[in-house]
This record gives sequence, structure tokens and C-alpha cells, in this order.
Amino acid sequence: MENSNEKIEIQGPLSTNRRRRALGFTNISFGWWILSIFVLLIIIGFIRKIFTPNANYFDVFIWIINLFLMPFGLSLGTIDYRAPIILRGLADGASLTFIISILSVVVGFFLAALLAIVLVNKNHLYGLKILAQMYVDFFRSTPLLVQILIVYFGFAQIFGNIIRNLNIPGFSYEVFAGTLALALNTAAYQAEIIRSGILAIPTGQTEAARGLGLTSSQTMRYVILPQAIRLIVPPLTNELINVLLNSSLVSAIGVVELTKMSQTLQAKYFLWQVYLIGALFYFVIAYTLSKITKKLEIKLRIPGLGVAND
Amino acid sequence: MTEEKVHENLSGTEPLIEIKNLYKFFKDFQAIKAPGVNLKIFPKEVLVIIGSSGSGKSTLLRCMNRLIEPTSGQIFFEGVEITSRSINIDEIRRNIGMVFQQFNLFMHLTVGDNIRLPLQKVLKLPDDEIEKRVKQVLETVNLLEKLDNFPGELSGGQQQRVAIARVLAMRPKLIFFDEPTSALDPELTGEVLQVMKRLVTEFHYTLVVVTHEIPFAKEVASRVIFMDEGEVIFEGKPTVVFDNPPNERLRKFLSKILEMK
Repeated sequence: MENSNEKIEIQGPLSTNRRRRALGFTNISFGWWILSIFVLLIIIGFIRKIFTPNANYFDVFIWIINLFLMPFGLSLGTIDYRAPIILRGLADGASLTFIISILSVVVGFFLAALLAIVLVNKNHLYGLKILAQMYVDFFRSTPLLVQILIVYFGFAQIFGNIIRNLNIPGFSYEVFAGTLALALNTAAYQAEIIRSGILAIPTGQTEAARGLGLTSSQTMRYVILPQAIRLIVPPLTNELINVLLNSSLVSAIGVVELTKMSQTLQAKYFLWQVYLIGALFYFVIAYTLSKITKKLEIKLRIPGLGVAND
Repeated sequence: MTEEKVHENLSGTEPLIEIKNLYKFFKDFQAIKAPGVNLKIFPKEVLVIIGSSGSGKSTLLRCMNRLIEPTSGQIFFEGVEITSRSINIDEIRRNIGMVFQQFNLFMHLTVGDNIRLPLQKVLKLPDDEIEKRVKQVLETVNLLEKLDNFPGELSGGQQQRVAIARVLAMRPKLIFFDEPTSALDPELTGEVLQVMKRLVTEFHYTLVVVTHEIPFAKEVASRVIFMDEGEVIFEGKPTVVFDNPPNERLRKFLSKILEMK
């Protein structure tokens, strides 16, 4: 009985839903399709950037908007003469925002890992532990804007000339100082996240590993850290998005990233909607990053130690 | 003490572990009371430690491979003092297996990798030898089909058997069991106890077992130690301890446990 029922369904004409599902367009996977296309476009943008240094990562999106308008005999420029300039400018700013935040999170992560390992150590390590604790306390208890200003003016004499002499296009001292300040700030927060991840692993794991004869560094490397990594992916995602949004503060030292660019364009055209489009850029990047890390979370999941729930 | 009588047949052999005046003081209470515990563990014997919770059984066990640092006292393993600072304790621990109450399998590794990890990183064996041992120990505990499963996918009893297999693969000289069945459902304790019995009857391992399983202790123990409030109260053969307890506190403890059952 049950078998014949199934057969009839399969042989019958496909419903819209079924056809969609057959193509992989379910409600759940729809978001992933959009995401994959978006990531693909960014990759295209990156490759283009290698060959044409003037391009920016989000150029491709402007092309696509133009492509949709083409059948109607329109383009962005003919609808509003300001649109291509604004979009192009914001895309430039978004590229810089993206690079600055990714770079500072990655640099910050390595610094944070070192800090966390010092902080979870039972020994004082000749004052190193107190120094690490002071570092974390300082960067968590002062405003990011002040930190950016301190780094910008504090390192100007040491690094200012060196970086100007390097003469890399697009890499000014302002960008360097802004990225450094963000990296130092996020390192303090990430150190606490990693520390909590390490401490969340039950002591039984350490006992078992040490009981089998593994040294303390082997225990850390093969037993504790691999499990801690899985626990800290969600809070690290949070931190990643925080840094992305906080990076708007580096506009204060004259880095022309998304926020600064919005301000400039708004001042040029007296058009408040520029900020709205700027916000949309932030949203798209943050949303994409959160989706990617969610995917990572599910990839890393193991039975009995899962964090992701779908 | 009845130590003399108990050791009559073993007096010639060298003890595997010898503890002298072991004393442990935590911040706020004495886990093992001064003047401390004196104990000898001989090869091929099964030493069962019983006692109510908080009596220092687990502390004593953990002090013996220095998972907990004793406050004072000496521990000798095969005549070598392992409490001295100059000794590399990791070298000693590979000869002393330990099975825990909460299994403590590495959750991020498969059953196979759980067993492989210490063989690779501690004993540094060649790959073919590792694979041979993994197969062999999993056969011993009857879990060969779970080789590629994660610990989270196994039942408690199966997890504990994997933990035993992981210890066996190291070919230790003696194995500590810290309440191996306390975290298990009553129906699952049987399979773990059966594996432990096999270790004694077939492989003649030296075991030190902290347990509340009186029938099991009666069956396999060659010597029983009763601890209470941080000191060894009574030591003797299982027949004496369980059938005809001569000590008041021991009698009370046993009647409490049997009441529960």
C-alpha cells in the first residue's frame, strides 16, 4: 500500500515546490545560494584587483545592476547622474573597510592566542602573566576611539616615515595605524574569548591526557585547543562583526573607508540617502561573514560537543 | 595491622608501588590525614579500595601517579622515587594506566584516534604497530565495529570500555580504576565489570580499583583496603572484609551500602 502511494507521487507531474527542491532551491538552501553567488562575486573582484590595481572588490555589483537595467535601455548613469559615482565611491570604501577588519581580526587572533595561553597558565611566568592581564584590562577598559588616536599619534614618529617611504599605493600610515589599533583592541577581547574556551573544556580531559603520559604542551595542542576552537567559533563571529562595525571609527584619523567615504559623498551632493546605502554595504558584509562562520560551525561540529543546532 | 599475614605469599617479590607516609592537605581540609598512608602494591594483585565519598580514595589514587601533587611523603615505582623533582613524571605515567569515573574520552577524536593519539605522541610507535594494537585492544573490549565512531555516539558502558582499551594499548604495568562504574546505568555496569574481570583472569594485570561494587570486589580482589576520613582503617583479604568484618566503622559502611542495594 505504502509503496504504491509513493510511486503515484513520483510519476505524477512535479509540483512547483518539488521542482524547486529538485533544483536545490528549498527555503533553507535559498540563503546559501545567494551567499554562494555573493562569495563568488567577491572572489571575481579579488582576481580582477590583481590585474587592474585601480579596481575595487565590489565593482562587479555595479555591473550587475547595470546588466539588469540594460533591457529597459537604461543604466545607473541615465537614471541619476550621481548614482555611479556614489556607488563606485562607497564600493571603494567598503573594500578598504573589509580589508582593514579582516586583517586586524587575523592579526589580533594570533596575538590573542598567545595572550590566552599565558593567561590560562598556572605559573606567573616571570611577570608575563601580569603584563598580559594588564594589556587585556587596558584595552577593554578604554574607548576604542581613544586607542586609535593614541596609536595614530604615538607611533607617528616611529612608523610614519618608514611606511611613507615604502610607497605602497593604498597603504598609508593612517591605514596602518587604524589597522594596528583595531588589531590591538580585538586581541584583548579575543584573548578573553579563547581563554574562556580553554577553561570550558572539562578538567577530566587534561587529567586523561596527562595520565596517558602526554606532556602539558602536547595536551594543550592535541586535546584542549582542538576542542576549544569548536566552542569559540560563535563568540569569535560576534567579535569579527564587532570589529567590522567598529572599524568605522578609524575614519576619525582620516582613513577613507566606508564611513568616511559616505561623509565625503554626502557633503558633496547633500544627499542623506548615501548613508543608507553605506549602511547596506555594512549589512551585506556582516551578514555574509556571519553566514560563513555559521557554515564553519556546522562543519566543525562533532557528536557530544556540538554548538550548532541545525 | 594485618599486613604481615596478607603479604605472606608475596614477601619475596619486590613491590610495584610503595607509598611511605603519603599526606595530602588541600586548602581547607585534610584529604589524607597525617601521619599519612603507607601502602605496598605487588605485581599481579588486585587491590580494591572502598570507603564512603570524601574519604580520600580518589585522592590517594591520583597522588600515586601525581595527577595530584602530594603535600608530603614518598612514592616509589619499581624502586624509583617518583615524588622527587628531578624525575620526568610523563615517563612514569606511560606505565601507569588510569580509567576515570567520567570516561574522559577525547570528544573530538574517533574511537580509533583516541587510542592512536598516545601511541603516536607518547610511545612514538611505527604506524603498522599502532594499527595492530588498536585492533587488538578493541577486540579485547568487544568494540571493533565502533572504530570510526565518535565517543558522543556511544553509550556510557561502551565509552568506558573504549577508555579501558585506550589504557590497555599503552601496555601499562598497572592500571588504576577510579570508580569506573559509578557514572553508568545499572544495566551497563555489567559489561564494564566483565571486561575488568577478563583483565584479571586472562591477562593477569595489576589493578587498583576504587569501587562500590561489593560483589565484584568479592570476586576478583586479592586484597581490600577500607578508607574513612582520610586514613586507612582496615586492610585485609576480601573474605575477611566482606563476610566477617572485624572493624566497627567498616561494618557500618558495609551495612549502609548493602541497605542501598
